[in-house]
Amino acid sequence: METESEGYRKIITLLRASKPELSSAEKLESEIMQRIAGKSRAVVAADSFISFLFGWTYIGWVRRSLITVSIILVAFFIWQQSLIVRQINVLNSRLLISEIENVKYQPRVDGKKLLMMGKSGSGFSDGEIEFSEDKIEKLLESYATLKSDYGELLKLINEDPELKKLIEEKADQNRIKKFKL
Amino acid sequence: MVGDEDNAKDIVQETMVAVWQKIGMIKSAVAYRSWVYRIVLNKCYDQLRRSKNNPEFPADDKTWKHLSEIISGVNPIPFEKEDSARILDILTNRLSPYQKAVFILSEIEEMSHDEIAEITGMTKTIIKANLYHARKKISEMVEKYLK
Repeated sequence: METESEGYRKIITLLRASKPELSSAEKLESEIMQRIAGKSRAVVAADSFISFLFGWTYIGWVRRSLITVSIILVAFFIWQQSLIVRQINVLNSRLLISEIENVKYQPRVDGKKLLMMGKSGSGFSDGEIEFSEDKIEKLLESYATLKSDYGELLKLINEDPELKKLIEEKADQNRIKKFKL
Repeated sequence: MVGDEDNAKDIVQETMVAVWQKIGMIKSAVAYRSWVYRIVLNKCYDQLRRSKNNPEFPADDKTWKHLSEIISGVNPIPFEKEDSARILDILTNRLSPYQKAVFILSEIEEMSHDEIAEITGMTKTIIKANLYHARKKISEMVEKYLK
């Protein structure tokens, strides 16, 4: 190579012939051995401590018993988890049924409209049906009036046996007419 | 490589302890040499990084005169082992750590570029470039001081 001069070549040749070496190699070797021995002593001490703590796990029957117990515990845990999941599913389905059966309404935030939840498969269509608040109030009022009037009417009929008999006869006649039709 | 015998001894000690601790990880004898060199080299890089701010010590005229006398003879006298370290340190003083590593492995240890690549993790192109610059710097120094 162009960069190498004759002097450079000579120096490299001489350096290759007498490579640098560390002095007092024996001392260095003994120091290394001491460090290694010190580290190995530390490793042995750690091993013996671990052996003292957990050495009993290497006894055959203890190990087999531990394995058996751990398998039983794991199986129990899996069974328990599956049971809990099943119970949660049952409870969820119950809650859903009770929610569907109760047709509820609740005022919206604006307070002007009511929200009625539709029951699937019944007279309501799926989803939400909105009524005005006035209409719902009127409906509830007329239902309450009708209920009280009906109660009073039943009370009157029960108190008067002749009236009761007359009504029953009329009802029988209506049934016969319907049947003929 | 590190320019100080005490540091070199520390590196040798640390390397031997690391070798003793991790010898089980070596699967083949072929990989062993490169692995040991790699440990040494990494420790040298660490040492050079730590002593980065240390002032350089240029060789004095007496040392260059002595060196000139040695190599100017028809049959140059081989260096003493202690002198070799000193001369090598003077020659590589201005090189970067990578140039120094490539120069020592290639020129002094006479390793192939493949071996150097395995030890240093450098590509062959980078090795060649580092070696070129190292040779150039050292040649310039030799030409300047030994004439």
